[in-house]
Order: sequence, then structure tokens, then C-alpha cells
Amino acid sequence: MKPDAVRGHLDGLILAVLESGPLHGYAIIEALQARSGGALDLPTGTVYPALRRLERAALVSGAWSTVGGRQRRTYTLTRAGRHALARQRAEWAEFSSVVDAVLRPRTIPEAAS
Amino acid sequence: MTTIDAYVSELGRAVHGPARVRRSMLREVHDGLVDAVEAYEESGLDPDTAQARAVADFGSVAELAELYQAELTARRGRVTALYVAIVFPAMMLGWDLLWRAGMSWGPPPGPEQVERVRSLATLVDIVTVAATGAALALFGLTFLRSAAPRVLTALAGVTAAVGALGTGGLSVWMNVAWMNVAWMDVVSMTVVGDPATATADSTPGPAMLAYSVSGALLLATLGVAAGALRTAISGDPARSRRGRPRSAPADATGYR
Repeated sequence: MKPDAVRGHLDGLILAVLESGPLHGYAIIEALQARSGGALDLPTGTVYPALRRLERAALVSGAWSTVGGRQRRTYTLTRAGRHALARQRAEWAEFSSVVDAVLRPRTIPEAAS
Repeated sequence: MTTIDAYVSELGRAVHGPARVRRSMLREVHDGLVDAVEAYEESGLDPDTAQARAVADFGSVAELAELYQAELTARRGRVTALYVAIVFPAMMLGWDLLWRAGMSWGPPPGPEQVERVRSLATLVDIVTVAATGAALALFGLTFLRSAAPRVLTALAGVTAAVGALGTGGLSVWMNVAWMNVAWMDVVSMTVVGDPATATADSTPGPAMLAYSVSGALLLATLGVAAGALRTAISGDPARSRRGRPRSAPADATGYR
């Protein structure tokens, strides 16, 4: 998938990945790649500023902690982040069903009439 | 120096902002790259190739710097707005308490001067409240992901500068309005010779201390304002692009 197509949805994708529990930056990148079946091809460096943006908006909280004997910045979904994720899911479901309804090829009988 | 170190310092040179946040961001990038290199090494790549691959996946400094800078600029704006929203009401409260405690400025001038000082004091309060209100609004706006960081930070800088110059200037004027008379008193008393109302204690210790603290805070506020404006202006992506050598293509980081 083209990076430009992903960029507008990166924040929502990150929130979704954090839903199951706190993760650090590289684990988030791995989870994004795993959940997309490797189809998500964006520069991994865009994930870190996105995390800071989400943190600024209080949708995730970030803190340095020791993971596996190493200092890492771990991100946790906040309550506001959960709400934002639910909203984004609803909006996406609506958007995709509308686009899908328009893009879907018309059935033969309709085309004939 | 490893490929990763070189990449992180190149990114570090391309962005600026609050030192603590900047350091934290760069360290996080470094850690993430180390994680990526380890993953590639585990999959069987040699260290050099693993590093080159991790840095290539990450994206070029040229295409990423703007994203990192936007967050640093937004943080600068938030810190500046918070500073104004705390320091200005604190100063107003401090002076109010001093006046209520009956701190004197030496012999009271005539009724006309008292009236002028009173209206100037009201003006200082108005400027303080306006700056605080603007700062609180800007602080709140930094929580919006869609907010334009450079605009917010520039406005926070302007708020801090206008607040400091406004309250500082009015306060100096206020004291001059009061002291004009006090000075004339000094002259007339020296001439006429009335030691009973001598002005030796016209500027008592607590007042001097309050003046110094306020002056220092206003100077610090001007410094904060300058920092915010500098970040807002130098965070201009067009400017940083102009600063880069023309001949270098957009993704010429040397690590691709």
C-alpha cells in the first residue's frame, strides 16, 4: 500500500494496535506490519512523530520504562484514546460502505435496463 | 560512528525545540533503530547490511524532519502558553497581596496622581487577564492534532511578549507617575527642610524585592517569547529546505 494512502490513517492504526496493551515504538511498527500482513509499507520513522502527536492530544500516554533490561519509551492507550478509536472505527465503517456502494460494479440486469 | 549514530545526529541537526523533548525523541529513534537492526541480524543479515536496511526502512531525514519538527514546535507552544498562564496571574496575585498588606511607596502624591496610578493599575490588570486568557486558549488548542503548530507557537510567543512589554511598561509608567511627586517632595523638603517627612524609607525593602522579582520574571518572559518565536520561524519547512544545498536530492541521506 502506498505510504501516502496510509499517512492519513496512521493515527487510527496506531490506536488500534495499542488497544490490546502498552507497546514501545518498535513493537508498534512490528504489530502494524504483522496485522497488515506486511502490506503496510510506510517509512517506519513516521511512527515516532505520530506517537508524539497522539501523546500531545492525550490519546496515548508515553513513559520511559525498562523493558528486557533496556530503557524504552512505552505507550499506553488512554480513555480518550479508546473513545477516539471507537469513533474512528465507526467513521471508517461508514466511509468504506459508502465508497464500496459506489465503486462496486453494477450487476448485469441493472446495466441492461 | 555507526550508521545509526550518524543518522540520529543528522536528524538531530535538522530539528530544534525544547531540549528535553528533543533529546527524548532522538533517543527513542535511536532505540527503535537498534531494535530494527537486531531483528535484521536475527534474520541472518550481517551487521552492516542490517544497519543500512534499518536506516533505509526508517525514511530519509529530508522527508521526516518536518514531522518531528512539527511536534517539537507544538511542544514549545504548549510550554510557552503554560508559562504565561501561570506567571502572569501569579504576578497579579503577588502585587495584590502586597498592596492589601499595606506596602507603601513612600509619601502619597496628590489626588490627581493617585487617580492616574489607579487607572494604570486597572490597565495592568486588563493586560494580565487578556494575556492569561489567550494563553489558556492556546494551551487548549495544542491538544488538537489538527492544530497548526507553528501558528500556535508564534501566537503564544506574541502573547508572552505583548504581556511582558505591556505590564512592564505600564508598571514603570505607574511608578513614574507616583514618584514625580515624591521627587518634588524630596526637593521641596530638602529646600524647606522638614526632616519629619524625610523620604529615606520611601522605597522600603519589600517593595525593592517585589520590583526585582517582577523585573526578573518579565525579562524571563521576554526570553521565553523570543524562544517561541524563534522556534515558530525556524520551524518553517520552506526555510529549512532553503537552507539545504540545492544540488542534494530530497532523499540523499547517504544511507539509502
